[in-house]
Amino acid sequence: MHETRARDVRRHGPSDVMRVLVVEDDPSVGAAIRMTLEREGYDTVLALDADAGTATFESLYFDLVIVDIFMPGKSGLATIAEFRQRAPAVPILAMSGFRFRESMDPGLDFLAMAARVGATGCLRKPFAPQQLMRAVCASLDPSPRVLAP
Amino acid sequence: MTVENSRFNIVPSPPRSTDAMERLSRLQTELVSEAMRRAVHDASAAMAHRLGEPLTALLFVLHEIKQASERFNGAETPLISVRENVDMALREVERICDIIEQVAEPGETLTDAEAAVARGREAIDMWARDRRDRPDSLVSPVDRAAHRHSLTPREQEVLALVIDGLSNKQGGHRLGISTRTFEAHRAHLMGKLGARNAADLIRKTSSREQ
Repeated sequence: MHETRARDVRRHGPSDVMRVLVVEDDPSVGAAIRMTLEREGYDTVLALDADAGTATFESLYFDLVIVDIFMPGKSGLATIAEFRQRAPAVPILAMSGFRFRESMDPGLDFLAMAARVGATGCLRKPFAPQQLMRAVCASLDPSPRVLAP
Repeated sequence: MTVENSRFNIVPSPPRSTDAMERLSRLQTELVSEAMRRAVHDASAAMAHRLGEPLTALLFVLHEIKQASERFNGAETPLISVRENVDMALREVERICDIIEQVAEPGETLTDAEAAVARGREAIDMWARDRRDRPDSLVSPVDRAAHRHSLTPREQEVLALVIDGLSNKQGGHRLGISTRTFEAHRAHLMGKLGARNAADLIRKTSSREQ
């Protein structure tokens, strides 16, 4: 269950379509993200909870994973940590909800936690399709990582 | 919108063992669950947090509608897909309204609130009916007039004496004031009640309608 799986590198060829895994429990948000990604030419698979996400991640190759860190049941952060362990090279976008600018205890900085367990980028809800695509493109950009303005 | 989508300039180091990974994962899950419980305890934070999802879906759906209309540019639009998108958008707006409703009345369902208001209104109506229908013996005409026309205590005394048939001189003597003073009070209270003379005054105070 926990052995590191070798990624199938044959999956990638010049004609191969990028595949994205979206782990999101809200059906409307999941459907909205998939609709936009599919239009932009990404093959998109939707998982409605962390367990389904993990099972799907183990069965297919993904170029990118988008994970909601606020899901009922198993924590999205734990899922991110698992994905990072299984496939260290796959970028992970963490989605979070609202957080107050100052009043929150620094110990409750979920996005910083997401970064510590292996997220490579973040999206704070609510976000628009343009913001999703910017984050996706930035995550998949093979050039050296730079902090977005 | 001022949402920042930043990329972290952090290279995560892989954990040393799967046991450590499991422990870390469990610890994080517990910590995060506790933190999340605390974080979302605040009503306004909870509301804003919950609004994130329907708002995101709404933004996407509206963007779709916009694109669909631009694509067809005044020519025949695929009405079915636009309608579906509009329905989806409306559903998300309804979700948003529900969330706001729930936070506005924490712990209280809509039916409880409505029932409470109805009960309150009923009680007020009963009290008003009770006051209106109470037999004269329980409420003196002077009290009633005093309440309705905002009579001063002295004016109430004067009214009572006038109703009893005392003259201005007798009334003044009874209250220990001059006749003129008594007359002045009487004139004032008659003005308040809209009475033209003593008979009118008596009629007005004994009548329910006033």
